[in-house]
Amino acid sequence: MTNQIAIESDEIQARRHRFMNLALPVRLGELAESLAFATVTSDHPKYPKFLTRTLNESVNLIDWTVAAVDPEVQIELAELRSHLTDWLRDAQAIGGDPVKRARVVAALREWSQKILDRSGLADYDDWQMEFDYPPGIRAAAEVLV
Amino acid sequence: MLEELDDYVKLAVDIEQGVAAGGGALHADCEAALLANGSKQENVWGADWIPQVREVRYESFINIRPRQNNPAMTILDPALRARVEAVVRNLFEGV
Repeated sequence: MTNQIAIESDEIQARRHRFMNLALPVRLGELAESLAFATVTSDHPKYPKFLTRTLNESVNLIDWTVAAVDPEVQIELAELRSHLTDWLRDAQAIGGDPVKRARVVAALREWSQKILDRSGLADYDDWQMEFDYPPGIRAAAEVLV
Repeated sequence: MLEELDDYVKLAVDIEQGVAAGGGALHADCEAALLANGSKQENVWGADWIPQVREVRYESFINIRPRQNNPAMTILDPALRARVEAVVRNLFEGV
């Protein structure tokens, strides 16, 4: 059996760096958003592709967050990660089966809300001010006029 | 940024200035680009553009604004959604 070593691309590395500069509640917000996006695109003809991308993104965000959260939340994130990797393996089948897809979308929606609740962002009148968001100027995005 | 349009693109949209920032892997990247460009945070909302179906989606945690009566990730006010959609379509239709 060949040993496989996962190597981050430069793009993922840069992204991880920017993500790690966010306050922990904001990181949890990013994760909740990623999970939510996988639910709102479920009627898209290329849903397996969307699902794969958003689940991969969510797994990365969990990996970059888990060490910073309380043990109780670590357990939840580990459980979520386990579901995500199962669904990643099954993404094509989920995309092609409306019953499976509905079940996964419902679970993702629930997890998204749970993670958002854990973030506590909605409890603040102005969480951007509270967490100094966004931190600094990013060259990764461009303004379109 | 066009290569990213194959799938979807994350955006921050300034509804007052009629501009958007995209191409960032995080909505934080997009929002920061707009703020650096002079946008006010209260006018900036998160969205995604999905080119294959030419749809705008409104789910982003940057939209959580209890102070602006939007306590959810999605944009709840239909009029506000319409303004975001107008800016996005103006920038992306035909791309």
